[in-house]
Parts: sequence; structure tokens; C-alpha cells
Amino acid sequence: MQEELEKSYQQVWSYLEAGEWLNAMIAAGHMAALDPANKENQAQIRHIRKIAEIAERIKGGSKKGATARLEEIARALPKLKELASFDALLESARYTSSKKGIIISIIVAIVFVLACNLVGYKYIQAQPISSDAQRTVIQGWRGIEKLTKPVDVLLLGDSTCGSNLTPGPVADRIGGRVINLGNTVGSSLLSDAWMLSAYISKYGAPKIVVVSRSSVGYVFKHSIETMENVPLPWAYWDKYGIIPDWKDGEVRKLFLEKYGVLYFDADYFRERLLHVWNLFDYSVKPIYPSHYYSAGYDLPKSDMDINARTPSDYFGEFCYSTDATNALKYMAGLARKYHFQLYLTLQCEWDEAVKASLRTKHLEAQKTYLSQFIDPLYVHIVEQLPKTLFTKEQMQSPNHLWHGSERIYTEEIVDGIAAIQNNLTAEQARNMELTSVSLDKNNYAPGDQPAITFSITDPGDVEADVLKGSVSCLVKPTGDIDANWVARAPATAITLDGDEIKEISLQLTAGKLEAGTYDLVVFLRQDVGGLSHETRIEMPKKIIVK
Amino acid sequence: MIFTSWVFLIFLAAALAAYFLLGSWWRAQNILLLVASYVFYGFWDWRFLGLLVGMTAVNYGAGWAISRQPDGDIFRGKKRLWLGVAIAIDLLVLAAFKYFNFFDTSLVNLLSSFGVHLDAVSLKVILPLGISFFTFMAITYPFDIYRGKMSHTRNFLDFALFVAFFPTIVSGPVERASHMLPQFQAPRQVTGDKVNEGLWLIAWGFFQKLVIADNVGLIVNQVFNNYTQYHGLDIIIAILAYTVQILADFGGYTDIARGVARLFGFELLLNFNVPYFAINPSDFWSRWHISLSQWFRDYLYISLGGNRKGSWRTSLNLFITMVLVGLWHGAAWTFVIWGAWWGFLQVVYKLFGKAGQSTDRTIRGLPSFVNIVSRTALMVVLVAAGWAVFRATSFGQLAYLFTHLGLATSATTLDSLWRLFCFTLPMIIVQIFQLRRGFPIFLTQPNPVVRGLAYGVIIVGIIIFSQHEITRFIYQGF
Repeated sequence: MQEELEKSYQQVWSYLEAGEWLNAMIAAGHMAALDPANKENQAQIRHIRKIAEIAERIKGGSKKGATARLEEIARALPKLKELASFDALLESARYTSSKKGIIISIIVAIVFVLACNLVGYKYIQAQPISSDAQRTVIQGWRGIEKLTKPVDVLLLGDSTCGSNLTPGPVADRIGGRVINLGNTVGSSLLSDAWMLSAYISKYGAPKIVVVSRSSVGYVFKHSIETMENVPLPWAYWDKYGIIPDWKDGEVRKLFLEKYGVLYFDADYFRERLLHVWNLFDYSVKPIYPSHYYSAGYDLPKSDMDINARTPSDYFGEFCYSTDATNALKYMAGLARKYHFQLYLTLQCEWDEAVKASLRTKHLEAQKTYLSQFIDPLYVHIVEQLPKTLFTKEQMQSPNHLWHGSERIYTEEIVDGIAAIQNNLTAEQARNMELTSVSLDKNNYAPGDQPAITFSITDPGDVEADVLKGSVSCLVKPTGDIDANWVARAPATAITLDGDEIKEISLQLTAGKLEAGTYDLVVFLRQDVGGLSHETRIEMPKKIIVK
Repeated sequence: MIFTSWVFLIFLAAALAAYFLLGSWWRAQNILLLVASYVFYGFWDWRFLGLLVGMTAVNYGAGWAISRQPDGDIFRGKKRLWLGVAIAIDLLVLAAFKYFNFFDTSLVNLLSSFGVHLDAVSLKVILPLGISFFTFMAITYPFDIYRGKMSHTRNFLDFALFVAFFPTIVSGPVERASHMLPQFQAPRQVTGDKVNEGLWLIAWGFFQKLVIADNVGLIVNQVFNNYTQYHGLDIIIAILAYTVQILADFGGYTDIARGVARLFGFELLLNFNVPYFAINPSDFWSRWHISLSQWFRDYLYISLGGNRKGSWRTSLNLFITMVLVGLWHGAAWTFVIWGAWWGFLQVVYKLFGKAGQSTDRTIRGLPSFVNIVSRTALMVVLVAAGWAVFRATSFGQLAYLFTHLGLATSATTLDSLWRLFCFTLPMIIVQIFQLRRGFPIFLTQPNPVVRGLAYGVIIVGIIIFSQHEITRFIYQGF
């Protein structure tokens, strides 16, 4: 009996030492049952029961009066004070932080961080654009958003589109409204597909869409950096019908980069917060210097030294991404569905590269690749016309033209489009006829803007439908190509009903005439369905400037 | 595995989860912590795990041998022998890994100045991470048993956990066996307040390192790495920036370590207590790297005789102790000079008697306010001068820095000054609170919402102002 009592006693204190209060209470109960007459044991079990009860309450977060009660027990049972476990219990009774409080703190912290991020997001949206890549992407999308009425021609693509194709000569020749939404090569062809889709969903289909990307740009996939800059709500790729070829974690990365501005735009915030006086000065210049191409920037001459170029930079194997293929398929599908013309261009060509046959294979491969998307009625490749090769003085890089040369390239592209459309409309076209041309002066002085009157008639059947179209003209140095025009008059609409002869007067408002002899080139365009048929009439040495 | 890496955070989360799954099985928790600590250390270089275990075994064995000797003067010699063996092995290992090349090269240079030319033997060894810390921690075990402050523990694993405990192994605090072992050998209560305090310490530690130290460190590195391009105020700003950086860096590390330990239910020694508010050198060392200065006080200064052998001897003991404190930091003459500088300051302030040693900070009017502020400011200047020596990588650099001080400015002076001010301000605010409350943990008392907002501000600060690349802690190199 005594031995068992002693064993129970040891067990009780062993549990107490380990901080196992409930077990200690059970063991103490057993010990008390062994010797019910022992008042000391009975008192001990009361104390241990109380400790177990308090310990449970503390564990549950209720500490009111616990310290006082534990201290009272410790006075009655002084041996408890020697136990580290009892000290720890007493210590925990004194603490005031509850688990609930900690959880509240963590939740408040998370909400605070999210709120700061939201404020930061709004702040970033209001900031001036800080990189050219960002600028071009945002400008392109805002261009669609800010259009007040639909356009006839949409120019899409990368910086080669932005810098090498100018809307003016396109509109002057084809007529109607033209917008250039060219942005950056990193945006990939997906960007063109999304922009086209967004445009159509807002304004309906345009008549002509030109997609102009550098041949090295077909390899680009969707870019997280570019996609985060698109000023559209999340998942616009779903809305505009073409999902990128995501890799693992990219969606998460895009989400964080787009919306986790505190982290991903930390550099921006850091500088703004350190220069707090600039915090709300939105005119402050961007903090990042631009390393990106922009028309008119002076690049090192070595950039156009063919001997210094690594062939793989621009003339290596032609490559393309799955995203590019999907985007082209999608755009071709839209062209068929909405009956508009989709033109895929080849880029401006460098004379030295052509002479050295550096691009031959590359271009052939590109044409072969693009040919899979061709549709005889809706999707076409605009071939690089061999009329003009650009010199290194005209080119800023193997893809970009210096200012002034872009209109030559644009004219070539329009020539290409006209040739394709003439081919498509050859059977239905009636060909307007130019019966007379009269100039407002016999000779012009430099700087004059000649006014030219054209008499035009419909040579077709008198009973035929009304003939609609436009007339435009340009003036070029005698014997030179159209692309080197020096002055031109924008396209003006004309309607011919039956066999009437209509007079139309055009003024050469674009460009400037210097002393010399010039050829006059007239373009008569007849609308045929959604296309047009162009008749080009060249009048040599028609204009003399003295 | 550095505290400020994602790997560590994942490791910590996993260790905590496993720890709490074990519930009240504290012995199993100790084994888990020991394994986790070895994983933590082995993550840096697993080859040195053997060294760690070896050092643990040596000191444990010495403690065991000392404890086996019966009490009484006749056995004191044997106890002393075992203690001497342990200390000799510890110091030999430390010397081989940390100081051999330094002393070897210094000796060869010294002899060559007397015309004796010898080739230096260079040991190509990596300095084991945290060797200065875990060696000093392990030594406390046989020492404290020898001094009768604690008894030998039968559980080797508990002692191994004390030496390898992952929050302390790399950069301290330099714990004592007598402080940690009782904690490891009892059930632990991870209370709400411990978690609360632990979270605060971790958050503030991260902020100190990632926001304050790393950002002012940019100013420091710019000037110290290109010092010949700078002069005047730029050098002064860089020295002040380093003064801030080293506190934020090491203080940040210590706070994270203490916070992490608290999450597991353990209490580590306080290591920093607003040191730049000190008003004399001994006050500074009672606030700066407290665990190390107390170690040197208890195990070296007192062993040398402390202040029991007269004024001259006390000064000498102080000087020797401070020089060795300097040498403990690194095997370079700049650290020795830094230690000597502190030894010199301690001795000079002692010359002023009670006035020099007073730590009374009570403000009783304007004169006492001016007195305290001016003494504190003077200490900041003296401390900063010491840090310039500490940071310098050569005597040439040191000479350049001190001969090019002045008020001349450059195009970046104002910006550097502004950045230093901006990044130091949060630390000053928190330290003023700590000084006034006499309590080292800020913001654990207010209601949970206020605490949550404080955590939120810290997290936002870290997200925006951290450098987004991991930089090692300064004291990791020691």
C-alpha cells in the first residue's frame, strides 16, 4: 500500500513536472483514492484539480484571475514553485495576448498591405509613362479607346509598323481614315490579334488591316511585361478570343506584375517616397532613361555597319512562336468572318544585305511561313517590291527607317495593296476615264501649291449603277518612282452617274515644290464591293516649277 | 540559409509546423530542433557539420569530466586541467580556421622588417560559418560547470541543441549553457504573448535589415569602395551611414533570432539596448552586443583579475579585453585597432572617475539635459570613428578617410544625407520609445488593430524599400 502510494506520488509529480496537468489530476485522484483518510492527499488533489482547470482555461484564452489563483495554490503547495512547468504556466497566465488578437493583427496587416497596393495601383495609373515600350503599348490601346468614329484602314504591328508606315500617304491614296497602332516587337502578334478583335467588337470591321512586324518579331511569344501594361481589365485575352500559350506560373506572374504594384513598381515608389515633394507632381519626368528605339533618336553609326553585324541578329534563321501562329490564324479567321482585307507585309530591305544575299533564306522562310495563312479573297502577303532598296543612310537599324524614308516604304506597301486589289476586282471594274487635265497656272514658283482640275467620266454602260470612287494625285521628279513624290493631293471622293463628265479640282497641299520639272501621276479609284480598283495615269513633265 | 531568404521562411514554417504537431512531447521537439539546426547549418556547407559535432563533443566531454571530480580543493587541479584542455582545443580550432593566416603573415612581415625573410605558409581554408559564436557558446558549458554555476546534463542531445540552435548559431546572441539548457530541458509554453512578441521582433528585424541597413549600406559601399573619389562631407556621411548600418544589420539579425526562438517558446539573451544612447564607453558596451561583452567580462576580464587588483591593473585588463574583443571580430589589424580604440576610451573615461562612469540619464532641468545630450552626441562621434576603423579594409583607406574629412560637398552629398535621414528616422523613433519605456519590445501592448497596422506599415516598407536581392549580414562574416 505504502509502496503504491509512493509510486502514485512520484507519478503525479512527474506529470506536474512535464506540464501534463490533466494527467497529473487523474494520477492525484488515484492517489487520493488509495488513502481517503489522508487529508494532505485530499488537499493536494484539490489543488492539482484547480491547476488543471486553470491550465485548460488559459489554453482557451481565458486568463481572468488565473495568476492570483495560481499564486494562491503555489503558497499552499510550495513545491510547485520549483517546477519550470509551473513557472511557464504562471507566466502564460500573466500574458494578455490572445490567439484571437494575433489573428486580428495578421488580418489587419494583410488588409493594410492590400489597401496600400490598391492605392499604389491607382497612383501608378495616374503616373506619366516611364518607358517607350510601355508608352507604345498604352498609346495603341488608348488609340482604340479614344477613337470617335470607325476607321477604314487599321495599321497594326511592332515598331516597324509604327515608324515605317505612315497613315498620311495611305489615306491620301486609298482615302478614308487610317490609324497606326504599331507598338513594340515584344508585344508579339497576339497583341495585333487582340487589338483587331477589340476594335471590331467596338466599331465593327474596317476595310483594310495591315499587319507589319519585323521578320525577327515572329519568334516573340506573349510577354508578361507587355501584357501587364495593356490598359484593360484582367483576362482580356479571353474576351478577345485568343489565349496565350501560357507556361507554368506565368498567369500568376502576370497577375502579380500587373496588380502587385508595391513589389513590381517598388523602384518607382521608393524614389517617389524618398522625394516626397514630387509625390503628386505628375509632370515629373520618368525615372527610367529610355534605351528603346524611337524615331528620330540618334543611334551610333556602327548600328548600320554591315561588317559589324552578327548575321544572326537580323539575318539568321526565320523563327516563329506558337503564339504568332495562333494570332495569325485568328486574324485570318476574323478577315474571313467580317469580310475585310488582311495584308501581311514584309519589312523594308537594306541594299547591302540584299547584295550580300544575307536575307534571302530568311525572307523565303518568312514567306513560306506566312503563305499558310493566305486566303485568295481576304488574306494576302504584300511582297517586298524591288523598286526601292534602302541605303544605310536611310536606315536607322536593319528594321527601322530614318524619318523621311518611311513614306517611300509606305508608298510601296500601298502599291502592293493596290496591285492585289486590282487583281481581285479586274472582272468587275469599269475603269474611270480621265478626259482632261487643266492646271491653274502654266508655270509655278517654288513653294506654290498647284490646283489641278480633272474631268472624269464613266466609260461603261449608261444603264449601269452609279460609280463611286476617289481621285488623288502626286507629283514626282521626272522619271523617278512614285515613292519619291514631292507633293500630293489627298484622295477626294467622286460619284459618277451614267455617262456624265464630272470635274474635280485637287490642290497639292502635301509636300513642297522646288524648282524643276515634274511628272504628274493621277490615281482613279473605283469602289468594287469592299475593295477598290485603281487606275494609274502618269503624265510626264506636266508641272514646271521655275 | 540566410534569415532574409525565402528558403529560410519556408524552412521556418516547416519547422514550426512539425514542432507544434509534436504537441507537448518536448523531448521529441528537442530532437526535431536539433535535426532542423543541423539542416540549417549544413545548408551552408555540410562538410563543417563534423566540426560542429566535434566541438560539441569536446565541450560536453570536458563538462562531464569536470562534473565527475568530487568537490574539494585537491580535485580543483584536475577540474582546471579538463577546463584547460577544452579551452585549448576550442582556441586551437578557432585559431586554425580564423587566425592562422593572419598571425602567420603578420609574423613573416614583422621578421622581414628585421631582415629575416621567411615564406608565409598560407592555409587555404574556408572560415566556418558562425565559428566564433558557437565556439564561445560551447566554452561556457565546461566553464560554468567548473565554476559550479550549473551541473552536467546527462542528455548530450540537449547540449548539442544548445550549441547548434539555428536561431543563434550563425551570429548569436552568444548564449550561455546555464541560460539555455534549463529551457531546453523543460516543457515549453508558447503563449499568445510569446508569439506576439516573436512576430514583432521578426518583423522589426526584417525591417531593420532589409530597409534600413541595406539602403544606408548603398551609401556606405559607394564611398568605401571608391573612397579616393570622395572627400569632405561625403566621407562623414558614409561613416555615419555605416554607424547606422551596422546597428540595423546586426540588431536586425538578433531581433529575428530572438523572435524565431520565441515562436518555439525560448527566450534568448538581450543583445542590443539602444546602444547609441550610451553616455560613456562602459555604458555603450552594456548596450551593444551585450551577450558578447558579458561573455568577455565573465570569462576573460574577471579571469584576468577584473577590477580587484588596483586601478592600473584594471585599466590594463580592460585594454586587453577590448583588444581581444576586436580580434574576435576578425583576423585583421583594423579590428585590433578598433578594439584598442575602445580599450583606450574605456581607460580615458575611467580617469574621470564617477563623472566619467555615470550612467544617470535623469533630466532635472536644462543643464542636465544639455549635459546628457552633449555626452550622448560625443559618444556617437567616438563610436562612429571606431566604426570607420572597423569598416576600413586597409590602413591606406583608413588614412585617406581620416585625412579627407571636412565640409566639402559633391553633387550627391545632399541626396545621401537625405536618404540617411529618411532611413534612420524609423529606427530613432523606435529606439526613443524603447529608451523611454525601458522595454526592448516596441508595440506589443496596444490593441490588435494598432499592432496589425504597424505590421502592415513594416511589410509595405519592406516591399517597397528592400533591395530585392539578398545581402548577407555583416556579422555573418565573423
